[in-house]
Amino acid sequence: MGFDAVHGQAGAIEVLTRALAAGRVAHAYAFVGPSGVGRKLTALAFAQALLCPSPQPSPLGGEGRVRACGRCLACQKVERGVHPDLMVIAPTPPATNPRGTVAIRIETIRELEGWAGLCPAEGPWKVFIVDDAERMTHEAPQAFLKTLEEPPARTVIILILSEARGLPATVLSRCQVVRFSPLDEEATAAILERRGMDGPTARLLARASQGRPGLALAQDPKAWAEQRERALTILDEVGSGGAGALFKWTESLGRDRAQAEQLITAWWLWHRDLLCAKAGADPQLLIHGDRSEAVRAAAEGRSWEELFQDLGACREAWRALQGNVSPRLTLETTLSRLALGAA
Amino acid sequence: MEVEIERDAFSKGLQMVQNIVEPRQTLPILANVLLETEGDSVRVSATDLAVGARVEVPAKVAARGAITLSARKLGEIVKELPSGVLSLKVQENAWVLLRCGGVSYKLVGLAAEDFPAVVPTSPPGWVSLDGKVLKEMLAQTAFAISHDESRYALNGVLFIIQAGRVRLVATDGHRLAVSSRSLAEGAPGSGIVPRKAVQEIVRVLGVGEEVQLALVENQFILRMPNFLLLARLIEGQFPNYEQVVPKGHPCRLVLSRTALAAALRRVSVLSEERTKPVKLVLAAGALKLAAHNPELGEAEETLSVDYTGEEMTIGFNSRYLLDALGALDAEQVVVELKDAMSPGIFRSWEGEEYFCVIMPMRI
Repeated sequence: MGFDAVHGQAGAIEVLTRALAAGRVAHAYAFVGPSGVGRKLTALAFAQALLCPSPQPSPLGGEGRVRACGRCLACQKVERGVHPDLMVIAPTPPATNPRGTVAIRIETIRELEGWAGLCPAEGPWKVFIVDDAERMTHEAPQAFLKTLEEPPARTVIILILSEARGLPATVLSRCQVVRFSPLDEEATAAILERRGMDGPTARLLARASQGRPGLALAQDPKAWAEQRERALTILDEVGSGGAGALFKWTESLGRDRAQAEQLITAWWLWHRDLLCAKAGADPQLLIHGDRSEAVRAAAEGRSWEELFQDLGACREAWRALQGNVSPRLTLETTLSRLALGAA
Repeated sequence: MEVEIERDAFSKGLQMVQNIVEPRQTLPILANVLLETEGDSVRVSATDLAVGARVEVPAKVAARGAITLSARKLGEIVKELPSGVLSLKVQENAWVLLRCGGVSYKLVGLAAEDFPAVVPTSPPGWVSLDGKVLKEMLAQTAFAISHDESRYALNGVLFIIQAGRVRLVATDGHRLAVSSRSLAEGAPGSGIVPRKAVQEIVRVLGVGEEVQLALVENQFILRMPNFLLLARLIEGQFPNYEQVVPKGHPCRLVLSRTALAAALRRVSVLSEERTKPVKLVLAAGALKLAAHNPELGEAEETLSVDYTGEEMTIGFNSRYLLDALGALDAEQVVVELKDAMSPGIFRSWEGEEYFCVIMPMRI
């Protein structure tokens, strides 16, 4: 772990190491950027640097001690997720229904505040990482405001979220925003190759994940390819089979939010390729490079306007899923727009 | 690790620390107790990260080591075992073999490395106190701890050890309770001890035995023979409570504590349920308590008191008065008042060891 394990986020790391070096650590940070680019890894590395009793000077020079040693007990506890002064909060299903919608609830925020009110157990700080912070339920950000504005001494709160507008402006204005961006294709592929992927797969996944190595690593490449195939099969079948085929698919798929998200992403990527092909882009740029013929043929049959509309439909569907619209309803609407040409 | 322990002593030790283990845990290992060998004993530790306790149980140590086991299951097992010697042996992959007489258990353990340390953060400077006195002081203040979690500095009891005195203070903004005693000598220190730790201290304190306290950086520590309790202090500044303690109130009356408490209980039956207001009307030679409720009716009771000052009326939450009276043990209570808008002071007749300041209510 440590900052060295984070790739391609030099800007964000610079902001954080400067704060450490100057001894001017903000009480609340918002790490904003797409998932899978190293936000949580950076947050953990930052926590490790804060909690390490013998931090090392930066290899780049400077006076401040900004790097966790990585060897001491405190550093190891952070890596194993058992450090008593580090609390990582993630969305959970409601206590009464383990299959319900995951969210960060007001009770969890209250619990966090209770811990923040105590002195640190072992280290010089208490660090709270709130992953997927946009999943806070309606009252949770309200309850959080006071603590975010003026947390108890020696407290650092890190909110991880993918879009600044995912949380009320009142919350974000109390945090120092640190931006994270997708990596370029080279860097992503390099990370994937280091993790043992072969070159062509790494390149393909780097492009498909849009520079988010965490996302590409989250699933096995074979499963990813199957998922992509299936997304296109569904599109074809619904296109030829009409409403009957549509309802058959959505009935079996509509319960799983994660799967719905994957399908929407796959369709979005497909339409992106169609747009590239229509614009006459280099086939190298295609994510579905292995079926460039099919892409070209499909692109020819579409007007610019249709393609833009379809991409818009995917984007809207993605937002709907983030906004907690039922996955089945979202899939039905999207499919009827993409495959049946509904408005 | 391989040890032999007397079942009765082990059971008693487990009971002393077990309560701290919370049923719902953020880290799975916190559902366990840590068993580690230390000289000729086994140390049993439990923690919920806010409060930790450690007890030493004499044992025959055949092989040194450490392991953690489910606190609940170990407690249940040991409770049911017959008196006698039980043996614990750690095997491969953190399996633990527990034997006692003809009974044997093979238990799933978790490695001890990840168990949070239950040790002082820095070398403590101890002060000694009678356990019974400490328990009394906590009872005299703990009721005034605030339940408002947004004012976290008030969610505990402030301990101050200074100039040969130990002083405990708690307030919720409506009332303030201060209890102090003199000490032989000791290292100065101060810190806010959270409610859960206070409850735990009260639970483990017996009667009459000597205990030792220390306030070190970030921690409160209580030590008894073979036993150690550590609590993380509350972060932040306790308000300047001395400022709100009124001085030189002109009206001073002395009355029987039990008579006043009994009268308050009788009259407040008809008080409105939420804030339980009671009106105190003070006149020469008499204190009248009155309560009314538009839906139920009215109640009043007059106590004769030795009072010669001016007539005055003041309202209080009767629950707060009863809490304060209940915390006193003297037969005579001294009440000091100024006017309807100023806080009242309730203290014992005998000395300066305890007092409670209560804000009045508009009635």
